[in-house]
Amino acid sequence: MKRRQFEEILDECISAYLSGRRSVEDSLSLYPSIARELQPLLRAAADTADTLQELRPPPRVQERIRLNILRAASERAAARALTRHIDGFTTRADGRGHWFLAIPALAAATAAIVVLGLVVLPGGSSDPSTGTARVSVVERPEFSTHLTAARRQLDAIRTKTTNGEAVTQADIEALLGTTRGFAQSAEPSELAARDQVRLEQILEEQLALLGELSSKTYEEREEIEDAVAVTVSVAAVFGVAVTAPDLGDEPRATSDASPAATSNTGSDPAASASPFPTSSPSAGATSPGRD
Amino acid sequence: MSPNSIAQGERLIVDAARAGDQAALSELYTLYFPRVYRYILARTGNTYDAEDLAEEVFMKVLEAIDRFQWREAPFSAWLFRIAHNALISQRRKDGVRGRSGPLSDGIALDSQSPDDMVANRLALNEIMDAAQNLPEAQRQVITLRFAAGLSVAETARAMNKGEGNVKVIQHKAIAKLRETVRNKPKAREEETV
Repeated sequence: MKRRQFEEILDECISAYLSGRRSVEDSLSLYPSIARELQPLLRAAADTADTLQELRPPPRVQERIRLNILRAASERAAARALTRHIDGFTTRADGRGHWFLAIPALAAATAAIVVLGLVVLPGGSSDPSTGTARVSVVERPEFSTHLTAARRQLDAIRTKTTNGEAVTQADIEALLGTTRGFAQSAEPSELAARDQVRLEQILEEQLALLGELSSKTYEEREEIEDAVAVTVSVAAVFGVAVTAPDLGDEPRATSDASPAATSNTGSDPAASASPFPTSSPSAGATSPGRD
Repeated sequence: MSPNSIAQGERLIVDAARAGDQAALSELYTLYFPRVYRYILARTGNTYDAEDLAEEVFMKVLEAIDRFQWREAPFSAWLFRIAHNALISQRRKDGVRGRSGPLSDGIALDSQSPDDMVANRLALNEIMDAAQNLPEAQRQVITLRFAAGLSVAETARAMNKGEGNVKVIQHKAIAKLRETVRNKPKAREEETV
């Protein structure tokens, strides 16, 4: 048998196996004259396919990413609708100009310019207390690296807690360092929409995880309280609405993304645990104290 | 359901997603995310890279789906070309060829019992180690066919190759995988002597 012919048959058998139409044995009985040659290859292919098919994304990860994609899709749809609105007023199908249609379009264009002025231009600001989503097309690689690092640290800590392993002071401090790094690697106004969404999820998950940890350990209590305070501060700086976890002794407090929001650790994040050594977020939410 | 009606259904979903239908986009995501994730994980062996890259792939799909044209390639081939490019780009950034470390401990396996899980992890390690030694084209065919579940036609379009060529590469890859896996215990015994 020619090699080409053999490859055709091998692929036909593999395809039949992958689609569930035939087992390896069925294929071998279908081609008895080449069964000896076919058998080891088909078995290897079936083993490889079976093993690789065992890999699956964790459902939590799949849903988190789905949410990110759908949010990004919504943002794109909104941006497109605005563009269409502006484009649509200038001409009509009958070719006549309709100057009065310019009014809503001009209003939309003005709004877009105001938003760009507030959000994209350097030094522009939007009030983080409103939690207004920022839109930027600027990608900040350093910030993305911090996001990835934070995600890994969170997942590593979560794995430890799931496996009943001890979460160490070093784990919390590493997380704290990464959280501080957010504010040092990007201005809030520079954040791309995708990074903003990822940051929101990370900060929310981080606070929930810290809350869980605080109920399990008293040894790293101080580090956890610091981490909560810093996380709340960073959330305030980036206009992210978060709920600080109940750490037990103190009454529950929430942050509504106001720069003055505090955690319920009893410490003022703007004073003692601010991620910014020289000024507090409450002093200027859009300029994280790097001047 | 016949392959034709499945293809027709997928076409409707893709067209709706192109028109901005979020439910359709979500459905496409449900259909393809596990396959893209599996493909990337099989190539990198790292769950974090797989998560990040799979998300990046779907963000790129979102940006580019307007420009997708049926006459050029099936949707799956187009999608996995994006996934492959994302992998190449990641590899350039990292400056490494493929999997650089041991298989991530966090890899989730669809196993029923702890014993199965251990056995599957061993098998997975063995296959991924063996795949690591394959030439790039062979690795790509193996992961597109067996991890992503693409047909030969789809694999050929995703790789910009002819179907006959893909079958040849597939044959060589399986033969080499088998050889590597079969020789492994021998190599281990030699190491211990």
